[in-house]
Amino acid sequence: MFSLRISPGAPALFRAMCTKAPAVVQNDFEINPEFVNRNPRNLEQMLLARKPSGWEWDLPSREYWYRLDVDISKKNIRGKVLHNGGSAVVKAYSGEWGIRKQMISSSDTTAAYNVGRVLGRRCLEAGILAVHYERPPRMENSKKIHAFLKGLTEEGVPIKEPDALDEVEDRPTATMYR
Amino acid sequence: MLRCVQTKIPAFTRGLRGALPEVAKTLDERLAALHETDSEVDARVNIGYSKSLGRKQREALEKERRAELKTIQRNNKLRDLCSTGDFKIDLDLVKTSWRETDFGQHVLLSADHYNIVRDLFDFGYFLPAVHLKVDFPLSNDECSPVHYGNIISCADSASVPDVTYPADPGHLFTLVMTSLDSHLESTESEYLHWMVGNIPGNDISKGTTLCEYMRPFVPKGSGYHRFAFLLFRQEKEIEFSKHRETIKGTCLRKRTFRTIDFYRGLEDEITPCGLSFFQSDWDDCLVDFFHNELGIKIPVFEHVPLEPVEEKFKKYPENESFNEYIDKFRDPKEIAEDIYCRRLKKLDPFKEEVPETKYPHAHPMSLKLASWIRAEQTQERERVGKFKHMKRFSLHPEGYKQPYKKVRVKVYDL
Repeated sequence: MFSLRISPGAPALFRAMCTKAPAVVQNDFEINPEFVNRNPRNLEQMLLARKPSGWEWDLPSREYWYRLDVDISKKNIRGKVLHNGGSAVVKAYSGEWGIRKQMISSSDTTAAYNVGRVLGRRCLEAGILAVHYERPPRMENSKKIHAFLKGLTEEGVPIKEPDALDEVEDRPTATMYR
Repeated sequence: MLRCVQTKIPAFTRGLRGALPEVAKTLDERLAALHETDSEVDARVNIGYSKSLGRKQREALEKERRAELKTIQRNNKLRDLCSTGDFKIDLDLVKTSWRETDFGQHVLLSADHYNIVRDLFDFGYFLPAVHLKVDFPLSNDECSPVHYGNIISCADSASVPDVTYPADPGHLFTLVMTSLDSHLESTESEYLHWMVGNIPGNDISKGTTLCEYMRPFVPKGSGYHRFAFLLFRQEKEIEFSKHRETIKGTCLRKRTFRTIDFYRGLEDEITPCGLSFFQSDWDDCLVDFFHNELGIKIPVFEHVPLEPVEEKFKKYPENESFNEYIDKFRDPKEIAEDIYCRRLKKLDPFKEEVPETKYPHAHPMSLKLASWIRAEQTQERERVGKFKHMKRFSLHPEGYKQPYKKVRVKVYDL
């Protein structure tokens, strides 16, 4: 929820500069002082929402808004971006005809790199600007994962999410809920 | 030598860590409870077109693709390129193929994530059957495209966008642009930004304009708002003048709109078939628009967090140092004021401030002092904690380096 604070109009100098008189005033209604932005992603994007956290000893960590999920099988490579609620938001798959017809194999390093690029592009198109990823220990030296992440970052999606804004410093005794 | 092994029961301090793991719910359980849905109550109805290939068509397509794959795999040039590891495929080709196949599911996934379909059509949903391509023109050959949730600055969306979609010239369409979040009076309503009806094929200029284009606007401080472009296919020509008057100008009361009501009124004649949406944030270029065109003062909003839970002050707290505990309950601004006053006492307005000492702990502290005073003094010497306000004022943040300046040295021959 957002509370209203009507600004005292433009400064005098600015008003003096505006030679045009304001158009016919048809908008003389009272603005709702308790404005609600219905966009469910708004607070996350403003970094005001709290990151949901699981157990402290959860591995991989649950503290993220968007998580990257890479599935490398013998035949295909799938990339997904999941929201913390568990729903997939963006998907890319090396078997998609548009990707498949441009490559020899759908499961080698080149495929991983290009699926990463396509996923990165789709993330930006869906308004996801950063994702969280923890490489599982058995994938530590995987070249395909490395290529996938390289493709994703080259398209402009970093693999580190920004931290939520911390308001605790100003109010040490309060536990904030957002 | 005997060793005394002290067996200590691990402390499960419930106040700090919550309930025990067997008792407490996991994050998954808590999230499931939060997003609990009833399969009967929340069931959705498909109000769009169900576009799926028949079995024979699908099989024919697969056969065709298999044949094409064989020719691709015989392509030795491509094989050499792919073996390098960083061969880049053409993303535009991927996109054109995506537009023909599974863009609808992807757009719907994203739209559900942003809760767009629910806010527009309540319990109805539709799989976009037509790819709606919307571009806001910027200059001669630049544009900012609308996809499915991307963020576009308010400065870029000032002029009428170019809308294209694949369509037969014989069909009729209606295009609607609404803002889902920026209604200033009630949260349930939307503002109608643009509406064109009876569009033959995809030539928008030939349609009848039912609502003139108004640029998207966002009040200051209220975050990211969603704006949606919707395409409806008409069964026949509709006389919109019966249902609604044409809107010109920027009267917001007249532009108040609800997509669900509009759709319910014409349910039998229109079917939604295209969707694309974007998000926008406050931009300074809107000052002029608010003052001159809307004729209202700029509303500035502040985020109101939910009521925080305050810790109660204990007279005899356990395991707390008393000075830190008292400071915890003081107003942080008051503490900052105290520290600033201490710093100002040291300053002389006519002299330059003494620079920070390089070795703050050079002088030994008196051991006669109480331990909490010594702890505070170390903090003060290091300028950390509440003593961060004692730092010497500087315009530049910490770690700032003066940009390197080239100094010309003149050399005179004597």
